[in-house]
Amino acid sequence: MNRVDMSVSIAGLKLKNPVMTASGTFGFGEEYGEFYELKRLGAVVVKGITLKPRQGNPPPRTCETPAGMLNSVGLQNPGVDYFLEKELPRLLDKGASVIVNISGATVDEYCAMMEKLEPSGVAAVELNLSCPNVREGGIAFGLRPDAVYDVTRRVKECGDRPVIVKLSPNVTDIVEIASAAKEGGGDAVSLINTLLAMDIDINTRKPVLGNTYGGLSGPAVKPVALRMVHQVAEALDIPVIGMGGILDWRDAVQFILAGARAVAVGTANFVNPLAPVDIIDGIEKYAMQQGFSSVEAMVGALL
Amino acid sequence: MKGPKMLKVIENKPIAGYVYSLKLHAPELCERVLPGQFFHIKCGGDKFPLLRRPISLSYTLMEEGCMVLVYRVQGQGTKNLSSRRPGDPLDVLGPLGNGFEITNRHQRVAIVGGGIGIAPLVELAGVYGKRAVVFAGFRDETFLIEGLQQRSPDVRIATEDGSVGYKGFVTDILAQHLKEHRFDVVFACGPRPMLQRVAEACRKALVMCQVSLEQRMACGVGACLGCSCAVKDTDGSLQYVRVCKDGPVFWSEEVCWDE
Repeated sequence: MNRVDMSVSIAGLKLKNPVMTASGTFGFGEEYGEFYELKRLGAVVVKGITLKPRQGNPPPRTCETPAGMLNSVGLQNPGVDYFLEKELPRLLDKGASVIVNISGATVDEYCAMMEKLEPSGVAAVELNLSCPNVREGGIAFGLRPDAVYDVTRRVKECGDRPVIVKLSPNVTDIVEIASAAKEGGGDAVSLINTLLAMDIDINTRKPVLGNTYGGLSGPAVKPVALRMVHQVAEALDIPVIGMGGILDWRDAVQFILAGARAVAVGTANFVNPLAPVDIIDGIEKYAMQQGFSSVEAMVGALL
Repeated sequence: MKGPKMLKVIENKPIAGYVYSLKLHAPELCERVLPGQFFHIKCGGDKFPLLRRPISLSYTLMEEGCMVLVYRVQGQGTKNLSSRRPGDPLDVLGPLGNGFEITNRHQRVAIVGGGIGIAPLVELAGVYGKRAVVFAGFRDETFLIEGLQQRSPDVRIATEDGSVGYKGFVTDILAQHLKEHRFDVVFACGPRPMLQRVAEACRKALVMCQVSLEQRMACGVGACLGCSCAVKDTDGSLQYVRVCKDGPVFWSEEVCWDE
């Protein structure tokens, strides 16, 4: 059998394969870089950063729920300057293609970060318009089409790097929001971020999470994510990075068939630290068996 | 490159109510693992339970090439784990985290455990042997006492119902002992209120104390920032550190006990 062309073009980037890590589940690559070479990934999407350091939400920050988990980390991060000085050079040394997820309380904060990142070696910027855990996490923008349009357009004006817009599933019409990102000049959309959720301990009669609410991820959200990816890919001409509950290569293939040009692996990292590389191998085998010459030929190949 | 390993279950038996002793064949890990480190275990189920469960090393059996983890059945994950039978493979990641800080300068140490928190201290008792006094506290039923005594002969027991040893909290006998004896360091593991009392007793007695903390974990390797706990920075300000990667063992002075 011939080898499959695993590369994909997305948001002006040529990735060696369609598998990325989902922001917030992979730190800055240091920990999982001990399990495999980061350059094997299509791209490393790093932990969301903000203009100033943030200490994050009080614990407990995670709990398991049926076929999923909640988190309310709250964007704990060392800030954009520390990232550029300490974390990015290490990632680039490893040969990783780096996508930086950024969050801001105001449009100006997004722009300030974009300006700082522009001269660095990052491949692209992912605008987090959807963190459910902190007010400054962009969700204020992500729920309104006009705000999504505005912040995307303004950030695009601040630099030439490709801009990926990460969307919240906590909306009535995902296509309307994705459309606003496209109109604002977004080069791609990432969907979905976590679903706003909670859990309660009936013995203490308290919320399990220190922050009361958190984001639901894992296999439990996959059907919702697949539906949203499919809706956006059908309706709009903008590349979609699909994520939400991808545990193995079968899940990843589903997203690609639904119309995603790339996928991101999040919660699965916690279950299997080798999940992203196992998924790359699995997609290749599936494509070979199904007679696809390339991953790009699989995109949206739902019958 | 390191990754999860499939280990063979040699034995998985109850040793007290809801408390199980899991023996795994892992000669290579036995050589490496340090007292206080933990393993992140896929307890079964493909998607539910989804996440691994962190379980500390209890002790190694070098001649058999085995290690023993002692855990309490708490939820669905540990319930699934308790149904594993000898011969079953188990998906184990680790050893993870930092163990206890052990030095030869410690001539006399106290090791303090409460409930299932006694389990991670057994290997440590073996390191210090006769140089240690072990304080073990239980609600009612005791476990792992023999294993402790084999490694470190001076074991003091407290039970809340008075069925074995001193009637009351293990922290009471520790506090009394600290007034009369000098220790170079105290090691503790157990429920947070107990650890807080141990830390307070050590502070009064001017003895350094290492505590092993517990927190809900997702990744277990330091990436997700899900298992954070609050510590005091050098300038006194509060910051969150990772129990899995920066701990699970911390100096009691660092921990913000009220957070």
